[in-house]
Amino acid sequence: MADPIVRVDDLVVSFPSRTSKTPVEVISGADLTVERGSCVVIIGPSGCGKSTILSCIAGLTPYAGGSITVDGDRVDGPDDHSSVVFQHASLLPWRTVLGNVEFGLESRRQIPKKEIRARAMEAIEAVGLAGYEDHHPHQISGGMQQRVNLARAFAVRAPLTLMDEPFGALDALTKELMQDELIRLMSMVSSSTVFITHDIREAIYLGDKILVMSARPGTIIAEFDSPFGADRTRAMTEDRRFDELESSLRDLLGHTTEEVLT
Amino acid sequence: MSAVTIETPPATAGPAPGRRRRTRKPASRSALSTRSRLLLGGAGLVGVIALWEIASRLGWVDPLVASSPSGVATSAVDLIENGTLLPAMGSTLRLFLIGFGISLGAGLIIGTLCGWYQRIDAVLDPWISILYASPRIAFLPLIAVWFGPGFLGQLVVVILIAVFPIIINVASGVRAIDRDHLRMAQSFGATNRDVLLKIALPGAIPAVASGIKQGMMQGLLGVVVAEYFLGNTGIGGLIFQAGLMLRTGEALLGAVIFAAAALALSSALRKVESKLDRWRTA
Repeated sequence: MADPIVRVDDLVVSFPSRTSKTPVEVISGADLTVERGSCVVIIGPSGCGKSTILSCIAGLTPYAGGSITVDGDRVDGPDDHSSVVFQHASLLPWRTVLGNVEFGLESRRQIPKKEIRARAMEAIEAVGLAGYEDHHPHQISGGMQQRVNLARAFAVRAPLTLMDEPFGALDALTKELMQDELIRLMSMVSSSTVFITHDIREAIYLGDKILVMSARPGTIIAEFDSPFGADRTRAMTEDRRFDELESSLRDLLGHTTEEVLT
Repeated sequence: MSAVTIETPPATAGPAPGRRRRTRKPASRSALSTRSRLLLGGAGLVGVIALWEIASRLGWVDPLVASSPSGVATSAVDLIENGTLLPAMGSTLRLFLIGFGISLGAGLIIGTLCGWYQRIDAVLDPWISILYASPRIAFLPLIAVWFGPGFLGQLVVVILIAVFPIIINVASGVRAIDRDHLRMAQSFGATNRDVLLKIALPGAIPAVASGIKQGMMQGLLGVVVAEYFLGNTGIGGLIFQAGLMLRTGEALLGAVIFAAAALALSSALRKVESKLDRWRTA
């Protein structure tokens, strides 16, 4: 197997503190790797800094120590190696569905206008929104807005897709639908994925590898390889191994959450 | 076979006979239809005008002071015939268009610069705040001295009054960029120029529209003030002169012209506005 696409070594992130002069450490010494073509899920209690790790890999948040490489290059700002799917769809309300998907492609530079249109249409079709390209965001549902969010990220065809709790705000049914959609998309584009969530069942359903983070200052405390192969179906959730993994994750996470409370 | 009788218990539920249950009308705020609104509004206008005419004809009010609808109409005919009304309207329109046009251009540019570049904002903000907060009409005598009581002086008055609401609204619209949108744009590698042109400016459209609306109405006020006090030209000058001579019909005619212009402008702007931001929850 080739080199991992993401390599994070001993990552340290700190933010300036409001109350004292010494900065607050948010991430202390996190290590992780993402193999090419795989989906790594990071799960942790809220406020543990899992979104911060993602933001660092995307080049949006500077880090104080350690190193991050994506596709062999050191990350020191947003680049073409990755694209981000945010928790809030962050669609531009004055642009249509098509215009929003095109925004990511336009920002990448050096893509001819004609190709931008063609690739955007292709991505819209891939997420099942064909026929909606002229709608404005306020005219479509929350689930459909997240599909546009996915299409915008996948249209740029970055080797790595970073997803920050993209289905966190959706209702349970729409969430399951979107998870299935995502599995289909990931197998279609053979991109590598880092997926942040606080939903244990979502983590097991989507992840080839599941990383558990501790409470702040966050670090990776456990790593689980999925017992399921590339073939992901809802039948998995009936499997005994699914339940076993769920209860061991729940134990770990319950433990870290208690630490926060005491 | 024996008949089984089932005794029904006496009904106890419900109010005793003879006592009326008190019902209350639930709150309802159903909207009045557009047709009824227009009818009522129109009837009100026509009613007041008719009453005014009657009061004047029957001598309830002094026609010299209050004039009358027919008096206003006669003034209009007279002024058109002696060739003063149309040139006056032309001169007022010219002052408004040039003054508001310059205010609009300058307001959009200065507002965008202040909203986008924090250093420019830091330098200009004290001046803008001081000028906007002060009653600018107080500068009239100075403007007359510096720019003369002619067209140039009038133009300066209009711009000084109309430009600030535009600057301030545009700047705050450009400044209020959505954090989520900014992060999204950064993640795709958008440049500052992309963010300004594709996120900040389109996002500022509602604020820009309300700035333009305020600037327009203030500009109209500026035109009247300028024409009253600098040169006595146009419709403003006509009202001022007519007032001095107690020609109330003419003065009222001028006021009606300004009112009609203001109404026309604001309804035209509303049309443009709704076209510009159809994306806001329609």
